[in-house]
Amino acid sequence: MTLSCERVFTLLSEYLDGELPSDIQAAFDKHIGGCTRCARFGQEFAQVVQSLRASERPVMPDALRTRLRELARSSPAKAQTDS
Amino acid sequence: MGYTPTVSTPDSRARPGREETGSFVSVPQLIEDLGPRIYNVALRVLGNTADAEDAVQQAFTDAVRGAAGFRGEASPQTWMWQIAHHAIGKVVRRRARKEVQLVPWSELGPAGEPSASAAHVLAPDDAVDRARLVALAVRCLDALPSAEREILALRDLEGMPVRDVAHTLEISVAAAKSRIHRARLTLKRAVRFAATTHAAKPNNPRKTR
Repeated sequence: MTLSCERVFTLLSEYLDGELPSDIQAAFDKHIGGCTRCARFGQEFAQVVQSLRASERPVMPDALRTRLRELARSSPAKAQTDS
Repeated sequence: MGYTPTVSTPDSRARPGREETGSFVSVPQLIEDLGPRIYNVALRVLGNTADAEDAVQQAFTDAVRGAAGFRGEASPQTWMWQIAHHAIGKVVRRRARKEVQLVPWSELGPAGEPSASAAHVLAPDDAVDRARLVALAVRCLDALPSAEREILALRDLEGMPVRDVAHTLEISVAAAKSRIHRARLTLKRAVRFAATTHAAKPNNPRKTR
């Protein structure tokens, strides 16, 4: 099986997420191994996604957590009134 | 009126027992398990803490109201994420936020060859460069349309499996995969553009490397 550059382009996310069937993944690897342009594009694509995954998570404010816990203790009727 | 989710995608995770209130779902437990994660997604989509807090509080208010009607068609987590998705969307619509895009991404056309400096930013070789790329990626994410911010926040910030992303957004798995891919491509293009622009500035030391 061979893949065109266009097909590789559409499969990048599934490749990165490890969701490609083994035969397509092998064809993908083969293409990337021989196509500098796709290899570079794919590397940049992966770097951007990995950068997003590595970003810091915000911390939920304690005051909000407290309000939510109080909300959960209230009855559905009170939640209706409070919102 | 609160959102009452209808879930048609049962999953195989263990169902919780019926609570004393008659519901299958424990909202206090969902607050502990998902509260910070939903806040993270809301903050990324809405862009400020006040709106994010409003959305999270609305989501759990809707959950309290809807808990008695929960019948376990899906996991409580999937149910809660769907409620959060609707609560966040409600704030987006209420605010009628004008989507500010730093760059008209759709008009950029096919990306050309990157400059040497931009290529360096996109292929970091040390921790400092990686930290810069992380900051750039987050900044560019914030400039994307809210729907793309949300799906990337769910998939790549929260690490949610594609199947769960699909359930949360109430779309097919194929549609979720397609949207995730398009959003990532848009983000990559934005980062490339920002890196190129940044690299072109005269005071950028990268230019002289």
